[in-house]
Amino acid sequence: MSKLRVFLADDHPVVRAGLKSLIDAQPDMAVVGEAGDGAETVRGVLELRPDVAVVDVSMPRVGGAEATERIRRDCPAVKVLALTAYEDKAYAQLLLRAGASGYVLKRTAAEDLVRAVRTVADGGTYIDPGVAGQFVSVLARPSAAGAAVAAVDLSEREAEVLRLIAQGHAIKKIAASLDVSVRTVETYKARAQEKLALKSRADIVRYAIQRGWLRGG
Amino acid sequence: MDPNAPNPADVPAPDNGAADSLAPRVWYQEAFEFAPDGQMVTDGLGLIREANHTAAALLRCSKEFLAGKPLGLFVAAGYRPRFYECLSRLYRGVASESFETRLARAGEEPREVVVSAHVLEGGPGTDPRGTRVFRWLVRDVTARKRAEAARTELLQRLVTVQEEERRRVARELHDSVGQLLTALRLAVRAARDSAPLPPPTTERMADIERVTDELGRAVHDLAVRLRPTALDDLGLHLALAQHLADWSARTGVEVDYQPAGIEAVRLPADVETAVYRVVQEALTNVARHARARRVSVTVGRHDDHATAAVEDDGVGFDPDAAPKAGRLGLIGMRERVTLAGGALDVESSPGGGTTVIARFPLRGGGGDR
Repeated sequence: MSKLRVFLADDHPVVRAGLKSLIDAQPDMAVVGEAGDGAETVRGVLELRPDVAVVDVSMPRVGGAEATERIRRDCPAVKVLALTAYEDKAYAQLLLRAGASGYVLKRTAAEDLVRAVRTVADGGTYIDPGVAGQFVSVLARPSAAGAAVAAVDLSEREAEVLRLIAQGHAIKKIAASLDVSVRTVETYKARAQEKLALKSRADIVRYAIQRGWLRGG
Repeated sequence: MDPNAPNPADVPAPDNGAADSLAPRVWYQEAFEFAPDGQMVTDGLGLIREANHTAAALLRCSKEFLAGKPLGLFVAAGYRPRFYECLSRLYRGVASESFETRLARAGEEPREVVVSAHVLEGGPGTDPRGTRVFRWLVRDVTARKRAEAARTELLQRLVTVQEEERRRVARELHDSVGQLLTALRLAVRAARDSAPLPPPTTERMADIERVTDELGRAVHDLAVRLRPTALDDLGLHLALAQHLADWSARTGVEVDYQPAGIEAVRLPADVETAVYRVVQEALTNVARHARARRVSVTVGRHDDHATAAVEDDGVGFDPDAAPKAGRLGLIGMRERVTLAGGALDVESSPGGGTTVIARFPLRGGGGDR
């Protein structure tokens, strides 16, 4: 039975030793090479052509993301599994875009690494469960009042106040610049929000983006 | 004629020049001349009619030189429009005005001053400007301004140093402590796998693994709370998105995050840090006090400003009521925002939720990094 050939890249020798014993303990896997920084990793992988390269993304000199890109470019048959201490989903996305087939947290590597190596060796993608479920409630909200936008009549003042709020101005400051009372601004705001079914400032900003009131930075 | 009547030649002259009423007048004269503030009197055109000693010293001129000169002459270039606006308003009937400005001195640094002006004689209307009388009080605040600037600079450096320290400690936690915990966890796993173990030992091993896992999580959370690496590596937008996701999961409060113009372009580092900290602290307050169900977080870049607003639908509070320093942490937040060059506004009413808004001018920094 030919064993799965695994290359390990991590700049912490004790961690690397632990990963090695974990992999070597599997009957169907063997560690064929190791490296302690990104440049060594790229060299080692190109030379040894492993099936899977487990790469720590925060190594010195050439970083993990760059090493991943180089490996994918020069020997695309090698599957790269990113290993990291950073649980931020954004890091995972960065590495997947660089060509990694999977993302494993160091914190749970003892439990998950073997499964992750098998998954990516088979051609699949592995995202650590600790990272996968994030952002669901936070990013990419569908816009609520999209359809109603064109049909509603906002007075000039109501539109002005809404635009200024979307641009991040405080009510007190809006009142001062329009030379009216805070109460007046609050009324315009409330009326506009009611007409457009906008409940929060986030809703207001989304409406403003749709209307083209906010120049993109 | 009465021989006892005093000789007219011996009777002292009537009171309006008498020696014993001279003392208070001299005293008032001296009080005017050496008052702590510069005092001047001009006509409606701004020509100096009188000046006290302090004013002359402040302007580094003799009193004789000042007489008849336009006061505006001594106002530093660039600050003159405000002075003439004041003069104009006094002429039109405003009773008094107060403003900050700079006075120019021959061959020397300009002085920062606070000027207070009021009308002494003449009303609005047809009185020609030459007959009006305006009084000007000039207070030299240069030393105070310098001290304030020095204090602000010191506080800014303090904030920077604090963030750098947090960054260092967070990295240490990841790179050193975190790594060792990973190694520990792998070693326990290797021990468990190395040979068949009797059940009690297996259970003890499972305990060790559980504790190590918890340690790993605790260290990670601590590092992120100190300073998330994403803030440096990936930018404000992604770091905030992560923080909001974590906070929402932890507190059970729904978060609606809407960025505008910050997804692709970075802001200056100190502004990104300040915005992150404001949102972080605002959310801490929401968790502690607001009893909110939903929070809306909007962060955007518009023209030359970056803004952030955290709006909750919780219990709100009365912003006019005396703020207790520790209770809402608003004073610390306001100071932080000011040091980064921004302004903080808090809108709230009892039962009406709370909105914290921070706004920072951008000095042409940022851009892709």
